Amino acid sequence: MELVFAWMPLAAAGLVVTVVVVLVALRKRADRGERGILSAAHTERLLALPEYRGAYRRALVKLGGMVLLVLVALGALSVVAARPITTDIADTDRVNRDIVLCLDVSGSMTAADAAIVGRFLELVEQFHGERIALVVWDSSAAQVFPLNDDYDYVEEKLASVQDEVSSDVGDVGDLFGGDPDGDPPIWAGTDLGNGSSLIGDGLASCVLRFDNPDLERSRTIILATDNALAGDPIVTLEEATSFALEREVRVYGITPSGMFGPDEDDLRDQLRRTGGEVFGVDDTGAGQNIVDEVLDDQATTLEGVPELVVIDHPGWPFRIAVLALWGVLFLAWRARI
Amino acid sequence: MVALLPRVKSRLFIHANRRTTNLLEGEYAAISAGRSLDFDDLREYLPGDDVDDIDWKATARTGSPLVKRYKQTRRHDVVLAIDTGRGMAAAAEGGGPKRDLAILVAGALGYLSLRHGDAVGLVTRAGGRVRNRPPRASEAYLETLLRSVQNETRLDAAPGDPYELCSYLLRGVPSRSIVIVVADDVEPAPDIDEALRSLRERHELLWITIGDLDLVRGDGSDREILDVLDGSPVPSVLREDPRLARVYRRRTDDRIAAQHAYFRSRGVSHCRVATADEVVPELLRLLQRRRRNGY
Repeated sequence: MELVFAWMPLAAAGLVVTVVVVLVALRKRADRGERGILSAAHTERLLALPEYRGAYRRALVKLGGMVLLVLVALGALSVVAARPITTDIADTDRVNRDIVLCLDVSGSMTAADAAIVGRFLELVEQFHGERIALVVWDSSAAQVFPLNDDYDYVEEKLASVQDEVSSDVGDVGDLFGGDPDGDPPIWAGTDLGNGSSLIGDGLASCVLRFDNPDLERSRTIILATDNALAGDPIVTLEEATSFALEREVRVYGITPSGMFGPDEDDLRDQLRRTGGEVFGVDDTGAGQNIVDEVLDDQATTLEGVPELVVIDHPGWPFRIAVLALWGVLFLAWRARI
Repeated sequence: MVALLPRVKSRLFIHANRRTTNLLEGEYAAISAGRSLDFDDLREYLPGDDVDDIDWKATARTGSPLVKRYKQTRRHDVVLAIDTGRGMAAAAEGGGPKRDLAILVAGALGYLSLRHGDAVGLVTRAGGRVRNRPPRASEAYLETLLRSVQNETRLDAAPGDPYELCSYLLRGVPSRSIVIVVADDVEPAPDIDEALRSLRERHELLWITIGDLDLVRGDGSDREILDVLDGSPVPSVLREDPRLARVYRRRTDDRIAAQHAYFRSRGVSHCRVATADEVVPELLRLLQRRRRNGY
């Protein structure tokens, strides 16, 4: 905690001293004038009354209390005016990364999605400051949440997706196209295309999620799919990969357990073109691998400038000042001034 | 300097109506009890004249009441004994100095005395020294007396002591006179009983108290009230304290009642004057009370 204008309390003290000096000087001058004085005899008939002493003491307490509270309020406000702050050095290199989680929710992936979203959650825990989005796709893509760095929100959303995809297939809620709480199912809007699991379309849609194409940022897609194409995509996986390459997006793959053969080889070949890699969801440390790749590999390409973050803390002195001023008003009312 | 006596007269004749002034004159005549047997002339009856003096035959002839006037065996001396201490320079109820009220009272009674053919003198006590101006029957002299009251009563004068003035009056006024004490608003002091009683036996004694400023109400201005003796202030914030004001009012009422009772129990004609408008009616009431009840 430090003060930006540390001289402010001193200035307030100087102001108080000046005011007191001026008042005393004015009073002295007023004392010299005879015009403002009314001489009265036998004032002891009032001043010697015991009630007078009581009233005098009461007035003194009220006045003293008011002066004290005004000084407290002034002191507290001078602290507010001095701007108490804390400073922090923020790393900007991390916030330069955008990550789109790209989840295949086609029927063939149903059994694997819960584990994959679990992986996503592990990944998210490792990131600090990166912007993260989630897109689900089947024959068309739908965005669950856009790029943002509100990790509480991201984790809450991912947890709710995990909860939903873990439900048994054939749930009553699923049959009627929604879960019991009334929200639309997570895959709502992912069946508008021609076929199922149109991987090229899904990847291309995820590439389109990145905003600010002009900014120099690290862009990563984590694509979870079994590459089991069934239908007629608008773009093929190869075309989508080329599009990602063109947009300087690195794509990592997560594949469900038990997947091997030409689909996985094809996926690995394509994603390696972008500098990415494919991991199995069951690989121990698959998430850590992705995180390391994302952070280590791309940190070198970014030039983060440490930024000084200044946070104001006017809270407690301001509260004291408000309370003191209320006290002054209360005493003024009591004293009928 | 503006002459003081004309101002007194204007208050007697203009502010108070004619009837009051006539009444005053008649009541004043009743103060001096002594009269000779040498008939002088007849004059119109004035309220306050002794009914025994009415000449019934002359009244029957003219149709309006006439009283006999006798040549006075001797001229009465009226001694104005006025407190000119610092306390009298302090404020009366209206905010003006009590001195002005004292001058008004002394001027009114002095002027009536002159009209009645009496001589007026002045005793003051200033700076610890008593000054005694012997009685003379002249308006110019009365004016001089009033002026010296005005000049002596200053904020830097010594504090006055009306009782000490009384003890001087016992020694300094040998012949029987009409003694009019114009005093500050003092507490009745039992140790003065003796002097007061002797004074009352030797002279016709009238005691007029000039009332102090009400310290809570002030004079209506925002002037700061300071004690005339030690300069201690009366804080205006405290004057607004209702409890204090109530107690002060009760104490003041009690004190004034005690003051009246004190003089009454000692048979001294006393009245209390707090504002200029009160002067003429209060004096009239005092003289009427004196004629009817003897005090």
